[in-house]
Amino acid sequence: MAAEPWRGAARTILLAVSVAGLFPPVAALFEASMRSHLLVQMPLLAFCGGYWVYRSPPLKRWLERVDPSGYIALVVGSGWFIYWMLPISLDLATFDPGIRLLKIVTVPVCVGAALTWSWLRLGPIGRGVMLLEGWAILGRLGWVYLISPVQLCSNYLIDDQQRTGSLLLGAALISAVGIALWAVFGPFRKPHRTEQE
Amino acid sequence: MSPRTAIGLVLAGGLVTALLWQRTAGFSAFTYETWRRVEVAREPVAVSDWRLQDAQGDFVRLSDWRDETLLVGFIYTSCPSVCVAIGSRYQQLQRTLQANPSTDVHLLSISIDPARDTPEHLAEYRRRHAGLQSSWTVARPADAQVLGDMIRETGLRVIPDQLGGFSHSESLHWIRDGQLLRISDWRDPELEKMITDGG
Repeated sequence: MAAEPWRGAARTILLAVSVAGLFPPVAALFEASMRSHLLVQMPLLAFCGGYWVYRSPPLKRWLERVDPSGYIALVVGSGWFIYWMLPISLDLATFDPGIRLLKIVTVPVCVGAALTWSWLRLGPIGRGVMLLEGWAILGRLGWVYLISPVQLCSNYLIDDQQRTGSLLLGAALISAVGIALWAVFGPFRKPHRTEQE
Repeated sequence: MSPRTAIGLVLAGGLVTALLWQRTAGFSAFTYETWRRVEVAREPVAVSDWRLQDAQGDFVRLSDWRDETLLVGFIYTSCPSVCVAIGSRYQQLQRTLQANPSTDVHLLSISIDPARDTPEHLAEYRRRHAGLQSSWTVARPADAQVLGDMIRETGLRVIPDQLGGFSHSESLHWIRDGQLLRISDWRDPELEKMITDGG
């Protein structure tokens, strides 16, 4: 551990950026547009939680005891994922300090960490379902934001909303193409092959 | 699947459903604007006695319409889109009021841009929509404090748009005796009926 001080530094920086989102100047920066709120801050927060699961053996041991299959984490993670995709949650997080705190705590823990844990525990079929459902959510939401003739967030203008919609669709498309390419051409291995051979 | 996992799953599923249920007011409100309507319909909100300046330059207060129900819409007179539509809607509602003189509803349009909306501009807005002084008051908050109170108490959201104007809530607010009783969509075809029913 001591041989890799950059890991400690990375953890500190991630934590600092997440917590800084609570304070008005940084919050205003992240929440200024729907794009940066939904497509920069949220993924960053979720990444923090995922990183935490990867790098913390005590957390892994605890999760192993509580949720060995990863199913509970999947349910919790998907629920909170949907919660933070709702226009109302996005709106409230920009002007209600309580909801903003909820965002800073639950996006890393209940979305990032939970989904990362279930990803680690699920087999190839479970992971496939997770990916498909993730793309479906991004696609549906992106489409709604793109074509809705009304402003869905009281705090974000309609052109911001439409641009966010296109970016969500773009993100779903690019990740789908990327993973499809990886699945076809990448070092794709059947699980347990080494045991069978 | 172990029984422990099954119980955990049921609990997690229940909690997540309860969470989404609570946030969306029973899966009925997915945007802030609809959520605001549901919340007010569930429990009326007290509003303070806003001090306003009307199109004649006179100062009035909400309590001046003591025995009347106010239908309050928020506008700004240089608004090119929705405030024009709300103005036309008020014009229709005013005809309903004229046809039913016994009803105790009064129309009130309040500017969210008091710096630019002088009484002259307010009067011009009402003229543009053939508004009658007797049943339709167009006013602006008397000072920045009142504007802040209005926004805070009603939960209104006002954000600057890129054209030097504002994007703001398009809803209409039913206020009586210092209580915000209901929030309606200005497109709601039931408004006429609600007016003849006395709000």
